[in-house]
Amino acid sequence: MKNHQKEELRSRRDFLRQSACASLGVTGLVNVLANLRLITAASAQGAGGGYKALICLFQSGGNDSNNFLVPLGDVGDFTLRSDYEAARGALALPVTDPVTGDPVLNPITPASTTAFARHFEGEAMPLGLHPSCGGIAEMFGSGELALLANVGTLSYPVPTREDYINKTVPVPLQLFSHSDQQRQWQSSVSDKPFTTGWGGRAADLLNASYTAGSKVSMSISLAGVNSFQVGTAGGVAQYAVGTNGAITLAGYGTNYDSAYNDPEDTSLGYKNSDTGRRLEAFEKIMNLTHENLLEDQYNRIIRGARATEGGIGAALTAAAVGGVDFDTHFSNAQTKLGDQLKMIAKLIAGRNALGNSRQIFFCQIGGHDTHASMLPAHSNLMAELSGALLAFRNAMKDPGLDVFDDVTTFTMSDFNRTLQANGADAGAGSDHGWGGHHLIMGGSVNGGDIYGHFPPLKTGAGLDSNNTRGQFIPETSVDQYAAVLTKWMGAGSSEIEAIFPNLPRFDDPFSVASANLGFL
Amino acid sequence: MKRLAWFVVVAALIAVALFLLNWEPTHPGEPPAAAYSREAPPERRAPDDVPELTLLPVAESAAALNSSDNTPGDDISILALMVSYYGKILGGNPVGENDEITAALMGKNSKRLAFLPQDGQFLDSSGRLIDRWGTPYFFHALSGSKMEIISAGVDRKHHTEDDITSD
Repeated sequence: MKNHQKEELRSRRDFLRQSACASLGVTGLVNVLANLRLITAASAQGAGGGYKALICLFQSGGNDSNNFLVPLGDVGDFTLRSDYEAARGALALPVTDPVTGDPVLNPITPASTTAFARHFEGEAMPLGLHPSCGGIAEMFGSGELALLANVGTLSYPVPTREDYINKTVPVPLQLFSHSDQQRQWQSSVSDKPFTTGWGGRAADLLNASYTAGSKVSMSISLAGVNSFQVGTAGGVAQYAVGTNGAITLAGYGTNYDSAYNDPEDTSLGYKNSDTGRRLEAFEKIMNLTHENLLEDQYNRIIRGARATEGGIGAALTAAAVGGVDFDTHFSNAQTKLGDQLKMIAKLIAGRNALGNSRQIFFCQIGGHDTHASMLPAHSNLMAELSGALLAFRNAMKDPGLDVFDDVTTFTMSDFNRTLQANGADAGAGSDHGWGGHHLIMGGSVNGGDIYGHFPPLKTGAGLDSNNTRGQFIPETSVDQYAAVLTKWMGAGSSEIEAIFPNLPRFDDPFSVASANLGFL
Repeated sequence: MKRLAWFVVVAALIAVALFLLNWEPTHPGEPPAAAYSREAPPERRAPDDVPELTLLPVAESAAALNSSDNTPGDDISILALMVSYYGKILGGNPVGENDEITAALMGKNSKRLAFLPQDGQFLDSSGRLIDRWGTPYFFHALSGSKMEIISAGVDRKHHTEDDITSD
């Protein structure tokens, strides 16, 4: 058994001793998490279960979800559509093509009217998805994808716009600022400076139960270092992978082919070249032990990264011979996001080589800060999102893999954008908003429905925190959204309580039916 | 025997009292009260004494805004300085749209500190900070401490080539 596994499988005696010491002065999230990690480790021996992967897809820059999920219908019949057109102006997507008369948007029919109960007396409002989101609409229609309306960062529920204007309820720190709102979505804690991400905290607590044969971190990022997967000190470290596989040491060729005689069999030694000798020397240095703890830890991290490269390589090799043609599945999704999801699909296919029965992935698509020329830019973004998700769904459902029920993908973004356009011409864009719409995709998702509460789209009234702009106050918090996802991954109630310290401020997503969060 | 009877009576009274303390009325057809209750937000009461508005020395520099002695870049630098002071003193930049940020700089903040005078040629009738061409500035919040301040420039249209942006 490897040392790091031994560390996880602590004995009950260790747990009792350490938690007794800790209980003398335990306060705060970090200590709660540390204690729970010990409890989980002590009780995890023998735990396991089937494979599950959670994929966070972050839409960086603030996605304009006002044009992702769009009111349909005739302006004279539906105030939702007339409010949409009045506020959006040049940004309003037409219901039909003005020349051909053909439908422009992708109409959807939710399975229930629950999302319209709060603001529309239960009357279903006709809605459609962006013209470039045909794939997403198809998956919604087949029950493989759900939508969550008007979710966002909250410190406490904000019952009315007057509560926001009169500051009677605390609101998230630095609303409308990119980096603060990105971190708050990724931490779920919007009333304190960032310390850890909720994905990282979840991994910390689930790690002991689900990584008995682990060869790689539970937290894998396809988009470099991120806040979402930052765990507590000593917890699960995030591991970054590129769209071509493990990120290897630079300067030694592709997969070290300039340094090893045979990169697939390193026992055949190093090439008789400067590059080969350089890698040999480097590896000898990294295998040294040091009395200085910092130096020794540095070497351990390098050795760990090199060992993980091997695990990733083994997973990709397994995926390549598994009978799934990833290139074909992603042939219409050769984009940055498509490439990231393709690599995630391969790592899921090679999951046995990675040895984790729970895996949390992070990927990202940028370019959503559409202050100018929003319509064409947003259309491209929606096409990239829809195409990549459809390709990923197809790969997960491929008979050679068949893990769609075990994989849940969800979106997050800095914020929604202002409903009101910032200009009157074709170059108009939208500015920073607040609550927005998101999607959850997977075989375990109760798809084909809209969850949360669809907001009225009146500006300067209803849920608008501003007098004119349409910055809608969220009615579902990130904490609630994330708690449902985390429970699906296997977190128990005490773990959810520790991962989401602000959750008790909101309606319990699991027992309060009016929260309308049963998407998993 | 009498003692036993008294004991039984007292015990029964205690049991009835405990039952009544725990009893909650229910009405026919009404579901039982949910066991879950939300944690309430901290009570926010208006302070007994609202402090007087304090005009800070930095507000004097507002006199130069949109003046012929300044360049458009100077104007933006002055505003950036005010936003920066605000962030340092109040623990983060002002948030929101132009009108909300302007109001915060003019004293609508928890410490009632004014970084801008209450009127001047830098304001429009909606209480927004405007550039020398009369167009409201666009405040682009990158983080709690970094704010881009953008003038629409001569063409009075934002997001065009002649926009002037803070560093």
